[in-house]
Amino acid sequence: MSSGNILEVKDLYLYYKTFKGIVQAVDGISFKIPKGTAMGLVGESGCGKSSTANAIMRLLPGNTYRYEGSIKLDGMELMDLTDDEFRSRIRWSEIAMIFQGAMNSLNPVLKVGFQVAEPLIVHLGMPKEEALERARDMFEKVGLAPAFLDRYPHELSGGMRQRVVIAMAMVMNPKLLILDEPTSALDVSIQAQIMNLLKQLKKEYNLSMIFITHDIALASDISDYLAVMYAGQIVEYGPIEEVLLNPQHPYSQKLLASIPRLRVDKEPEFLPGAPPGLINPPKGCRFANRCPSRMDICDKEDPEIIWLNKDHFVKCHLYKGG
Amino acid sequence: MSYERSAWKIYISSLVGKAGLILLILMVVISIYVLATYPLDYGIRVWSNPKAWADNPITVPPAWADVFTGRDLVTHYITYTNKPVRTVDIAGLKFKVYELKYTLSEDGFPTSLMVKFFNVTLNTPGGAYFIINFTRPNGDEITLYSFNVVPPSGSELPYIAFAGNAKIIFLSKEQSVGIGLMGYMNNHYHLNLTLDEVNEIGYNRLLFGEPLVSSKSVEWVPLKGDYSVKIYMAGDPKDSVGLIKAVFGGESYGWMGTDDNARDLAQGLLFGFPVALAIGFFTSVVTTAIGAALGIISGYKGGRIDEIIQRISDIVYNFPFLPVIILIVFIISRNPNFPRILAIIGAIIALGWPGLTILIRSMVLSIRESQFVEAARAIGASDLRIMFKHIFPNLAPFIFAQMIFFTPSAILTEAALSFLGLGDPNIPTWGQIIEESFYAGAVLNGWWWWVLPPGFLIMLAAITFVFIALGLEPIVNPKLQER
Ligand SMILES: Nc1ncnc2c1ncn2[C@@H]1O[C@H](COP(=O)(O)OP(=O)(O)O)[C@@H](O)[C@H]1O
Ligand SMILES: [Mg+2]
Repeated sequence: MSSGNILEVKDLYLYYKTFKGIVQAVDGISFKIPKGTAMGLVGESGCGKSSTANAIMRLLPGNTYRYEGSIKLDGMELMDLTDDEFRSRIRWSEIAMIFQGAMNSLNPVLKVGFQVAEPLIVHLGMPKEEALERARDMFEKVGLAPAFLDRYPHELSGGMRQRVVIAMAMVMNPKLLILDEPTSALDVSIQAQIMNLLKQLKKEYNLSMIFITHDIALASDISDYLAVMYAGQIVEYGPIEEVLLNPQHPYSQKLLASIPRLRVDKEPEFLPGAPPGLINPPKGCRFANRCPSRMDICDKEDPEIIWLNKDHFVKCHLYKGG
Repeated sequence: MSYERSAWKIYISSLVGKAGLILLILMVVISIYVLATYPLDYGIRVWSNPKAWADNPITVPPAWADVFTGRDLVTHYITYTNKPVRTVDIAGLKFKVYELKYTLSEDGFPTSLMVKFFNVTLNTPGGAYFIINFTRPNGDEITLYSFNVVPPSGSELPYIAFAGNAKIIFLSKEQSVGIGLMGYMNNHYHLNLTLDEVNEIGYNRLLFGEPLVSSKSVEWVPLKGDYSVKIYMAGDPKDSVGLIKAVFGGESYGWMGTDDNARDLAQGLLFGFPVALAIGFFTSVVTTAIGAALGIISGYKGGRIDEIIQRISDIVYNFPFLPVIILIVFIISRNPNFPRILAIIGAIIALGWPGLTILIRSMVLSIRESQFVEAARAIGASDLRIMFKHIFPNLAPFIFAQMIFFTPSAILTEAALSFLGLGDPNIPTWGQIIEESFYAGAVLNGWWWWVLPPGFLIMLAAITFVFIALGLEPIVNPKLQER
């Protein structure tokens, strides 16, 4: 019953409980990723991008308050799996992830070769030597000399460590790779090298990706689809060219207008105001207080998802009924 | 440069670290030597066995004690033979002659003279006849003693006498020797002595000395030179002696002197090395392993497990260490079949772990929150794997240093217990040697060689590990590196 989508997420919620109240970090989001494509997930920091990734990976903090929705991997409902099944069959073997800041959080006292090989040892019970052999192949794939297998993280540069982290995510040959701000801690030239590596891996393995970033330009470099997230919700989703060239949601429009562009005279626009807190967010549209096209209904009702075509939706009252 | 290499460089660049390592290597080399040359049941078979020490002098200082006395102390000397040097005819009897030579070169009298016979083979019912003569440096030969050995009637021939127990003749105590010496002194030095006078002077002075006669008194001075003990044996031509041993009692003995059981203290002290190292290492390794494992589990798992482990370690941590250990060892050792040494080690471990558990737990609490632990969880590593493959290596240098730090306290605790008389009687340790010396009044009697060396060695062992731990400090605690 495969629909050609590697991942279909529907009405996914992830709330946290804190002393101040319930944090609605992921609030009923939906999107889909066709096989072999990459979806950029963009939004300001704190809007719930990492939480979305963790929800898909079922890496839930101890203070998780609400976790529900539907996540289908290649047509299979993941939410029906027990934690043990999910850990042994899905996490890292089917869906792998590069955590935000992972390159700076490798275990400082373990050799990087071992850290790359470890998923194979843990999941497949592979003997260490064989796993290290596979790690060596993976090192080659991500452009690291085999000599680096025996190094410790602090002996490698930032770019090299990021390659290690990519190798670690790719070593089980996953179907879907989630990358959470994979280049944000790198300087620009290294960033370009890593992006080229990711594009090459994507092509070579027909890899599907969720590429999380706050940088739309970077997202557009690798993504086929773009999801714009705002205050725990995805407010617009569509093919990258459509969203970039013809953004529909007022937030998407403002976000794109705020990017400084070469060769264009226009000053980047500044988006006034701040996103609402995710604890007790306003009842209606969460963007209402900053929206230039705000209507009365926006303060009262949470907008529905409106499909503009079969691949493009927007969550905004402006498009209701039309 | 790899982590290990740079850690090693830091360690070896510190003076105390180097000193500690050299001392440790020394201790290990000595221990290996002891383990290779001593029987494993040395304590029972040799140390606590009076027979093993029968030839030794009692409570004499080491040979190098000359330095303090200002006089050459007579060294203890043991010699033996089983081959006759010649045969002689005396009054129609054929005698085999065995000779045991001795040279007196010091300014003193050997304290005793003893001859032992082992395995005398007799081929006729008449047995054999022995004469013991003593030759002085001037060539005078004095007959000291004679005896017959006859096989018990009806025994099968050849018969071996003195097979299990040697025939021991204490020449410096035997009255016939006194009478022989009395005659010799009269003949040779025209000195008329009564048997009482001879007894009072001591046979050893007469054997190995000369009288200096003045108007008022007679003074005995040692006569330096070559002596020999000659044993004449008459019997069947096939009769033989398995071994004849002569012991010339010294005023000093070996490297470390002897105790009041005539035991060679050097041996006991050497045996103390592997014992101290074994007690120290084993106790600290097990204590550290338990302490670290519980600390990691407690910190990582949290919840009820954490609560239980922390409560128990709080309680045990607040026990008064020595009194409770004494109590435990005392109770356990009421069962005489239970090896006391294990009771001691067990008690130190049982009370030693909580400090580390509390420390490690607090460190794990922060490591547990680090991203690499979360990443390990993400790749599917089990709790056990995360605790011991991911968290443990981050603590390993610290845990290792703690282990080294704990070693001297294990060694000192064993010594303290031994000193209190709770040591394992089957295994000589430095603490026990001190305890025995105190018990024998060594301090009052000035037997310093019995008291000081074991104390010094205990201190040395403890200092060795303290030095190593100090050398490790900058590696484990990098903030100290700048200093
Ligand atoms: N474990 C947690 N408990 C409570 N609040 C959390 C937790 N993790 C994240 N949050 C909050 O959820 C919101 C979304 O966080 P995150 O998903 O990290 O955003 P992003 O990755 O887009 O920057 C933020 O307000 C953050 O403070
Ligand atoms: Mg984030």
